[in-house]
Amino acid sequence: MTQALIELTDLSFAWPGQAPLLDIPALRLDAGESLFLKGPSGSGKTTLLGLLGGVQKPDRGSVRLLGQDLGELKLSTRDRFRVDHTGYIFQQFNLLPFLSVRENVELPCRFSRSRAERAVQRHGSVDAAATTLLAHLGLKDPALLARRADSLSIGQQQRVAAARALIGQPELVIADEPTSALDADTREAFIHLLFAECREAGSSLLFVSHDQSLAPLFDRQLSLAELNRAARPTSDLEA
Amino acid sequence: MYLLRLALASLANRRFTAFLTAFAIALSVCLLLAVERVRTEARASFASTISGTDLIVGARSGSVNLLLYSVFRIGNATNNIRWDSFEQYANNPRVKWAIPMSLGDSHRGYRVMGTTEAYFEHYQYGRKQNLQLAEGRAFANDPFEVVLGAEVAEALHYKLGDKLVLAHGVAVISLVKHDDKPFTVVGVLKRTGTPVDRTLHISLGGMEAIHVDWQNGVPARGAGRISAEQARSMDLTPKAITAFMLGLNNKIATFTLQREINEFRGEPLLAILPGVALQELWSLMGTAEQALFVVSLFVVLTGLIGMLTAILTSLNERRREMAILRSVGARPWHIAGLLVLEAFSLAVAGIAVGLGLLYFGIAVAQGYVQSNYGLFLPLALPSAHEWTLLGIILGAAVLMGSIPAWRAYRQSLADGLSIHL
Repeated sequence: MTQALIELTDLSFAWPGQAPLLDIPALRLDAGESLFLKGPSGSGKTTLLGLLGGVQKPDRGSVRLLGQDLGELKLSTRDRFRVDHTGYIFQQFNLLPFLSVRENVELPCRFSRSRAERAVQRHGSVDAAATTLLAHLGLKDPALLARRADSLSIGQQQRVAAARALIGQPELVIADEPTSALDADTREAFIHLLFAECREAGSSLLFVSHDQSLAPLFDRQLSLAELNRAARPTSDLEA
Repeated sequence: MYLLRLALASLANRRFTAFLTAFAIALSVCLLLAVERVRTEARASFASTISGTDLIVGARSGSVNLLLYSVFRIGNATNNIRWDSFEQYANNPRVKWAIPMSLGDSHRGYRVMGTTEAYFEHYQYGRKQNLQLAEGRAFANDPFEVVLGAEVAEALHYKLGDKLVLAHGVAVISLVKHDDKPFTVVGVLKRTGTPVDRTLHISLGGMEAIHVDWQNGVPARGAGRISAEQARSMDLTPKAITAFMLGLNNKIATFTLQREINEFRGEPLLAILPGVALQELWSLMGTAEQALFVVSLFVVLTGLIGMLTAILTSLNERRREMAILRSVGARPWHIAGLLVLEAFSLAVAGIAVGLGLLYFGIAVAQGYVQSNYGLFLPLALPSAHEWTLLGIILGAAVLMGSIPAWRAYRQSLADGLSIHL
């Protein structure tokens, strides 16, 4: 394995005035790897994603993305670093409803020059990149691409969100319960598409979900509850 | 530029609220500019109520009072002046023309003015425009002839040849009428947009004739009465008039003559320069005009506060929009910029529509306003002053937009990439 894509070391985080939520000795994701991170709601997974995105700062320890310690970067540099190297897919309502499907997919290229450049390098233009990605994800109809994003079905919207996360080949794609709004049939199909596209783009995938049934599809799986020392039963509970 | 595109798309998504907000700004901008235009034009038109007249002379009182009753037909003279005083100055070698005026009677609320043919010949308003007859002729030898101002004729539906009875005094409802001596309409003046439109003009002789048998302010009874026929054969030279206007051969003499009149030993007289008195009067009315301007400024402020409210209330529903933008790489300052641009776009739309409304309003009302109020509202491009006002409005809108921008900035830092709904 080459350089670690994500490397958490001795990380601890607590929201102000609250007990520690996360205490993770180590977490590592290699380039090209797909990792299933199991975490029920309230287990601190959203906070963990915030830390990975550099939106929150750990109280202790470090978060390294591509070898770069996010804590060392200034706020604005961190923002740029995040978008340059990470694509996000959320649970649902990922898209800006008032923009067209195509414009939604192209959004990261508007805010990250390096992703726009990579999209151009690979596909000739940002436009072509969006069209190709959407086609790979089963959205081929040009009329559909021009429609408002909120006129699509939830399943279609999640595929648009995936295309947006993948445009410009970020090194990392973070998916936070992207399938929870989908029914069982489309769920697996969506994940296979996501895998294929991540492989195509050379992106690692960090997939966070509470749905254990999806776990076997991934290279590796971890449970946040086991990883997180702060979540283990404490003496308070025993008392 | 892409931010502007996003701001506009987001606004279009909330188009109903956005439309109402922009429309409120548009109405306020339209009101402000309309008030500004009317104000400017009213001042210009006010200053041109009378022109070409060098001096107005009346019994000694205040200059504004003299101007009000002699030009604007408002209020009353404190005293009359003697006919021979008028004659003395009318024949002064420096005087080119003199118009005597005798006021005090009315007809259904409109003032009656006794004067001479000189009035039609020399009285000027606006840009040195003379009075013109729309139909008929000026009054001539018969004392019982009347020339109506345009508004009087129109409002009371008088035609040439109609007979009308004047009332004594200037109250709208007068108990004492000169009904034994009716007047015949012989002419109607063209509209001037000045108080001339609201005046009935009769000859000094006519004015004298209707009062010839009056004693101590009441009509004579029985044998003392003098019929219209009898009056026609009498000498109807008045003994007193209310005021007179003078035009001089040489403007430079104005001040000398004014001083002379003010120091006249025969009786206490007051001579005023119409322009100066108009200025004085306008400075009195200026307060009301300023108030109107301030009120319309506050209306604009209300419109902008409406915008501020609309944007602020939208912030909470748009946390998801902000979070999505953050997740695709928008920095917090992008979010703040988006909101400032939103305020800017709303204000620009408001100003554009406001200007549209203004020009539409002017185009529609121009003729009506000119004929009824004598105000010519030009369909001209905004003046430098108006551009400045619009610029200030735009600046204020952007300044106000920075309030929600600041909140969204904080919010997006706190919310990060995801929000829990």
